[in-house]
Amino acid sequence: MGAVLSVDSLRVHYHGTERPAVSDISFDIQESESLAIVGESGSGKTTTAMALLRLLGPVADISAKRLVLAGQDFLNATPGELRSFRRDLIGTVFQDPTANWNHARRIGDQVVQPFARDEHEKRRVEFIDYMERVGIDRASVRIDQYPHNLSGGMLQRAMIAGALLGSPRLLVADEPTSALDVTVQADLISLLKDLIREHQLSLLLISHNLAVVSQIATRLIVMYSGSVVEAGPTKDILENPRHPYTINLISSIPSVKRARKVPLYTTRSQGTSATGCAYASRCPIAIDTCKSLVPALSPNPNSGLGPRMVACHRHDESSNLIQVQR
Amino acid sequence: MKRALVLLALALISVLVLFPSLLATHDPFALDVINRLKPPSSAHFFGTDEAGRDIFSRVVHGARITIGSSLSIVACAAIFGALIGAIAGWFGGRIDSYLMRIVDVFLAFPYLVLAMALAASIGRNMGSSILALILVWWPGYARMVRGQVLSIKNELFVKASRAIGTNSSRILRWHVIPHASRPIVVRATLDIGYVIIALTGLSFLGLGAQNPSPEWGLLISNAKAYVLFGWWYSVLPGLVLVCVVGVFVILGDRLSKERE
Amino acid sequence: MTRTKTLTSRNSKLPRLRKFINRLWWLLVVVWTAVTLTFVLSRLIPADPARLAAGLQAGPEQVEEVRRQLGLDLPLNEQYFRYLFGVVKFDLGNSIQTRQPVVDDIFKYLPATLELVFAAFFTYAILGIVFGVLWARFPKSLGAKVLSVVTVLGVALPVFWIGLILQVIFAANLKWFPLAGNLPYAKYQVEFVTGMGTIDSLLSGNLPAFGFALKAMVLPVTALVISQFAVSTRLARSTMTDELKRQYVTAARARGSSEFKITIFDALRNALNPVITMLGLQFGWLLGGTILVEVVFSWPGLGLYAFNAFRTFDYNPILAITIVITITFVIVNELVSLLYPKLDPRLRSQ
Repeated sequence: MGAVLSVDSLRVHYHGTERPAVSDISFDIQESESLAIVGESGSGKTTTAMALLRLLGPVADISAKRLVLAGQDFLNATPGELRSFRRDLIGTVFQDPTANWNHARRIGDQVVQPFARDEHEKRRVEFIDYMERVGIDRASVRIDQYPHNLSGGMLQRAMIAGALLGSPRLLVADEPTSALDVTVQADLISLLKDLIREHQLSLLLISHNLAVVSQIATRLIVMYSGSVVEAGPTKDILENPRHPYTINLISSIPSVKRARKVPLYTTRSQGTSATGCAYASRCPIAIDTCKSLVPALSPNPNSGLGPRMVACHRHDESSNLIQVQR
Repeated sequence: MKRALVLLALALISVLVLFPSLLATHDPFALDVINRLKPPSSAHFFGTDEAGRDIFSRVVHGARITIGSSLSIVACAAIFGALIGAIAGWFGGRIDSYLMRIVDVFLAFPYLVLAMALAASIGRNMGSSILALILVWWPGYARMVRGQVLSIKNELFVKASRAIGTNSSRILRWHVIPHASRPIVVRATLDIGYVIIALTGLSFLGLGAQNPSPEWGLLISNAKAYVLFGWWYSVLPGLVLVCVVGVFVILGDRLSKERE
Repeated sequence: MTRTKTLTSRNSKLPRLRKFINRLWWLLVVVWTAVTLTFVLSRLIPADPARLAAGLQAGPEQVEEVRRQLGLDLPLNEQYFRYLFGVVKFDLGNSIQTRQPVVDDIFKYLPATLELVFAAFFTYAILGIVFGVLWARFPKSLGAKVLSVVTVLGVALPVFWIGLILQVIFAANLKWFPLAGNLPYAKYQVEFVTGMGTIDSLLSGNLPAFGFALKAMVLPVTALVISQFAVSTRLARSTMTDELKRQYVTAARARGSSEFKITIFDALRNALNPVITMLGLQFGWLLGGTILVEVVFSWPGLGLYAFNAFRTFDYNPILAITIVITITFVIVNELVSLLYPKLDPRLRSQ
C-alpha cells in the first residue's frame, strides 16, 4: 500500500530570484487521505502544487530526490508520459473559475480535449454524469454552453466534475473556493468531502483559509517562506499549535467571541534573513540561535493524535511562551 | 554595444541632415553628360545617373529633404494629434464623440488616396505630400493620447489634485502630459521610419518631390527607367534609405522595451 | 440624422436589422465624404482641365467646345450634382487619356489588381500566422532568433525598392522571371475574360500561358509580401505569446492536453482576433503598396491606371478610383468587424 503522493526534498527556484521559492519540502499523502498545505501568499504553497504536477514551465528549476504521484515517477517522466498521467491519474481544480476556462470554447469540448478522438463520446457521457453528481442542473445542455453562460459557482463545480473524469486517484485543489461567495464555499466544501469519500480519492488542498482546511483535511502542513514549519494531524495542530508562525496564523482568525488583546504582526513575503530561521525577524520568541541556524523539522512528541513535526528551536516551550488567541 | 552603434548612426544621420556639404563629394546638381551612367568608382562612390550627376552626393543632399520632411511630418502629426486627443479625453462627452468621429474617418482613409487628391488640387510638390501625410498620421496620436488621458483622469492622484482645487490646465500640464509623453516619443520614433517610407513612396509616384530634387523617393523613381543599364542607380540609394529607416525602427523598438 | 432615428424606432423589434442599417448608413456617409472631398479638391486645380483635355495644340474655340462637352461651363454646384447623380447611375465620366468611360476602364483593370492583392494578402497572412505561432511556441530556438532580426529589418524595406531590387536581380540579371507586365494575351492567344492572367489562361485551357501568368506574378507578389510580412508575423507572435500565458492554458495542461492541441485549438483561436483586425488595417498599406508595385512592374491594374491618370491631370479616373478605394476599404473593415462574434462567443447576442 504505497503512498498516493510521495515527495522528497523538493526545491523550486525561479530564474532571476535570489532565494528558492520552495526549499526541501518532503511529505506524502496516503490513500483516501486529505492533506492541506496552509500558508500566506508568498509562502510557496501554490508553487509546490504546480511544481509537483510539473506545470511551472521553463521559468523555474525544479529538483527533488523523489517525486512520485499515483505510483508514477513524475521526476523523470517524459512530457508525453506526464500528459497521460495528468489526464488519467490526477484531477486538478484551480482558484479562479472564470480565468481557468477558455471563454471561446464550449466547456464540454475543453474537458474532453485531452482524450483520444474515439473516446470523446464516451467521455462526454461521463462528464454529464459527473456534472449531475456535482449538482449542475440540465447538464446535457450545459455541456455545450460557453463559460460565460455559467455562474462562478457552477463553473467551479464543472471544473470538479471535469477533474473526476478518468477516475483519478489524487485530486489537487488550489484555493478552490477563494474566488466564490461564502455560501457557495460551504456547499462546495461539503461536495468535495462527499466526492472524496465516494471515490476513495486522496486530496491535496492548498489554502490560506483555516476554516475550510479544518473541515476537510485530515493532515496539515504549514509553510512559511518556502519551507515547512509545522506538520501533523489537523485537529492536533489547530488545538495545539507549536510553531510561533502557526500560533500567529490561528490567532489571526477573526473571532466573534472577544476582542484582540495582542496586536497582529504584519505579513511580509519573501526577502527575509539569509541565514537562520526565515521567521526569526517576525518571531516574538526568537533567540540568537534562531538567527544563525536553520531549524530542522523535528518530531514533537507531545501529542496523541499522530506524528507531529515542528521546525523551531524552541518548539518544546513555544506553547508556554505565546498565548494562542482564539 | 548595440546602444553605441545606434547612437553613432543617429549622429551620422544628424550630420547628413544638417551639414550635407561636409559629406558630399560633388555638387548634386552638376551635369556631366559625358560620364552618364558610370558604375561606382573611387571618384563616384555610387556611380553617376543619366545626366552624369554624382549619385552619392545626390543621396547625401537628398537626406535633408527626405529625413527633414519626415521629422516635421511626425512632429506636426504628434503635436496636433496629441492636442486633439487630450481635449477629447479630458472633456469627454459630446466633444469627445464628435472629435473621435472625425478621427475615425481619417483613420479609415488610405493615405495614398488623400495624397493623390491633395496633389491633384494643391499641386504636385513636397508641400502637398507633407500635408497629406500629416493629415493621415495625426489620428493615431489622437487615439493614443485620448486613451491615456482617459485612464489618468481616473487615477487617484488626479482626483486628489482636483479635490484640493487645482485647475484643469495645471493638471494637464503637470500630470497628464508628462505621463502621456513617454509613449508618444516611442511611437514618434517608430513613425519617423514609417513616414520616410510613405513619403518616398509618394515621391516615387511623382506626387511629392519634383525633378531635379535629390529627394530619395524621386531619385529611385528616376532610377527605375535604367534598371537594365545601371543597377547601382536603384540599389545603392535604396540601401541608404533602408539603413536610415532601420535605425529609427530599431531605436523605437528599444525605446518601447525600455519604457516597459 | 433624423432619418436614422425613425428607422431605429420602427425597427426596435429587430435589433440586428437596425444595426445593419446603421452600418450601411455609416458606410454611405464615409463614401459620400470621400467623393465630395475629392470633387472639391479636383475642381480647385490651377490648371484648366478643358485645355488639358483638348490638347495643347487646340485653339480657343476647340477648348470651349471641349469645355461645353465636359460640362465644365456649368456652375460648380450643378457640376457637383451632375457628378453625384452620375455616381449613383454608375456613370463616372470619361477618361481623357483612354477616351473610354471610366467605369469600363475600372472593370477592365480591376481584376489584374485583385489578382495581386489576393495573392499577396493570403500569402503574407498565412505566412505571418504560421511563423508567428511557431515563434511564440519555440521562443528560444534558432528560428526565433532569425525571425526577430528579419522582422525588425523587414519593416524598414520600402515596397517599391524591394520591387526594383527583385527586378534587377531576378528579371534583368538572372532572367528567371519576366521584367514587367502580366500575361501578354495576344502572344499566347488567350481570350480576355476576367482580366486575370491566371484565370483566363486556365479558362482557355492554355497551360503554358498559365505558367507564364504565374511567373509574371511572382516578383510583384513577393515584393508585396516582403513589405508586409514583418508586421503580421510580429503581431501574430505577440498575441500568441500573450495568449499562451493565460490561466486557461495552464488549466488545459493540467487536464493533460498536449501542447499541440492547446496551441491550435485554444490559444490560436483567441489570438486571431487582434491579428485579423490588424490585417484589416494593413489593407490600406497593401493597397498603397500595390499601386507602387504596379508602377514598378508595369502591371496593367488600377494602380498603373491611377498613376497615369494622375500624371496627366485626368481627374475623372482620379475621382473614380478614390471612390473605389474608399468603398473597398470600408467593406474590408466591415468584414473584419463581422468576424468578431464568430471568434469570440461572448460577443454573440443571445
